[in-house]
Amino acid sequence: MLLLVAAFSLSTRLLTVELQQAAGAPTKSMLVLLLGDSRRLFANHFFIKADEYFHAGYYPSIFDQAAVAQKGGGSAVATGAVTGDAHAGEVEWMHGPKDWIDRFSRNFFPSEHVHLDAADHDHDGDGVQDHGAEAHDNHDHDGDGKADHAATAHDDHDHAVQPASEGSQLREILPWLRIAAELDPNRIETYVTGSYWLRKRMDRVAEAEEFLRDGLRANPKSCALTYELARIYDEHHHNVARARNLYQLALRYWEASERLAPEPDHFILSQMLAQLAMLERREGQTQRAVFLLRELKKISPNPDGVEKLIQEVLAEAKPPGNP
Amino acid sequence: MNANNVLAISSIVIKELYRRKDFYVLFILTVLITALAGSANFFNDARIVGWLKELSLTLIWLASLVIAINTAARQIPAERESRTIFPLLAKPVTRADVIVGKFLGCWLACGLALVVFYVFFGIVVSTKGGSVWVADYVLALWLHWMMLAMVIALSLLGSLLFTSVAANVTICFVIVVGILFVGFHLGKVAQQQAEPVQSIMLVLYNVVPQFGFFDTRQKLIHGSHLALVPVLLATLYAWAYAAVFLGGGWLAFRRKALN
Repeated sequence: MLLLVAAFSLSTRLLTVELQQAAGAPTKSMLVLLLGDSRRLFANHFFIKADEYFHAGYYPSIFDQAAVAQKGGGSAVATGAVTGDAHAGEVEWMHGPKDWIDRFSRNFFPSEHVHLDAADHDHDGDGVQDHGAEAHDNHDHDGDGKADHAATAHDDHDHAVQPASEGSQLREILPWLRIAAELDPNRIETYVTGSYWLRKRMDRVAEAEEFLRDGLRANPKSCALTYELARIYDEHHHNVARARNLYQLALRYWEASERLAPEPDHFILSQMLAQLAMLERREGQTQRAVFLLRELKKISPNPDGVEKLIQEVLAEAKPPGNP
Repeated sequence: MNANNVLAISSIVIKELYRRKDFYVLFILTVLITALAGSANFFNDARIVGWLKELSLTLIWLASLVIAINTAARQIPAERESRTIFPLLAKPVTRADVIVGKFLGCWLACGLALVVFYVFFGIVVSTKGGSVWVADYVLALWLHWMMLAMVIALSLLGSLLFTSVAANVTICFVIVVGILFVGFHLGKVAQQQAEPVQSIMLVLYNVVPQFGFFDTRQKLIHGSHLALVPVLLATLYAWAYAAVFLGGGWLAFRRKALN
């Protein structure tokens, strides 16, 4: 009886929508019709699911997530896509067991903090993580406890990551990202995250590009998606002219959408400026590279580091023997 | 208690399960949904299997709970309604025999259903190129079955306390699913409450059967291994709770008027 009532209610709703569409109203997908705005909640759930899979099931429950959020913890799979370091900003949520139930229960669910991208920490390639998350956050690649290079905040934090092996479980995050994108096509983070893991860690550039283009169809003037597409042309297709155009387009989109915003997203702007400056430097366009780096210096949390980079670029441009 | 009586009653329950359509409907539904989901293509990668494991195991858990609760909940009310309880108890069969026989029958029947479901799960995973360690697979199936022992005993107890089968089924389902979702977190939530709510919640946390000990889906999905000793301890835990519920059921049944 309940099913009958539900079916009848749904059919009357769909009929109304059908009539509206016939009258010229814009068409909506079946998911939008059935779920309405609640689909964004589901999209968020599935995006978190991708992060849970990235941690091989080691993930805080809703009862722990509030504490993690208070400490400023975020999604590793999304942070990894933006900064190149999945450990950045992670907060450890599981501490020592509080009672016997807590202790005993840990035998029955994944209770060890792991990441599917074990390659992040396996610098000698023996399949064993060479250092923990903390060392990684401090940029300590030789394990001596000291940072090996000055972190220029997020200006150019892109480690030389290796694609995952054929047997890698990283692919398991993909269905959740795809479902999240289907449910909420306006969530930019989903496309950027999916594209990063596809192109950087799975060496599947074509799929990454297709996913990004899906995102751009739904969000035509997104600077983050345009920037991500530019990186594909820059780093994978090595199509300098197209990459440059796309970087510049991304900068224009940023200007249009963020410049007058109450809190402009300087993080993405700094990434765009840094990448375009590096492209111009490689192409010998010193003046252009220096101009972009000076723009970057204005918003960078590490202006000294950027100034050093500017001096390096200028020194490269000077002919030898001419001080 | 007579073992022959118990076995005779339990064999009738098993026959009843495979004559009824519940199991077949739920199994076919699980197969159809899993097959449909398995045909989805994500980024042209046919080896993605994790989400299918998750979906399949969730359906298996749901189906097994529905079968266990429904089967156990209607055993004694059906006997009373059709008045077959009178000739049954007129024989040299005690009320304890009936309770234990019904429990054993439901439990074994659910065990058979679980084996079919897990074989299907294994086929799905291997077809998609995924791997499940046989030892983990067997231990997960065992723990699942042990949890159903508690659920069936709880449902039998409920069938003697509540007046209608529907009420019993609904209450059992809410209790089991509720404990599965929040059981492990009651302790954390209790810490944030003022007295006396804190003490009440802490007592509940320690007293309710923690069905989460038997939910190893995440281990199976993500390929982390199960250790034997915790599984054995969890088995003892399940038997203890099942015995408590059956004891409660027997006490309730002993005092219950049959007409």
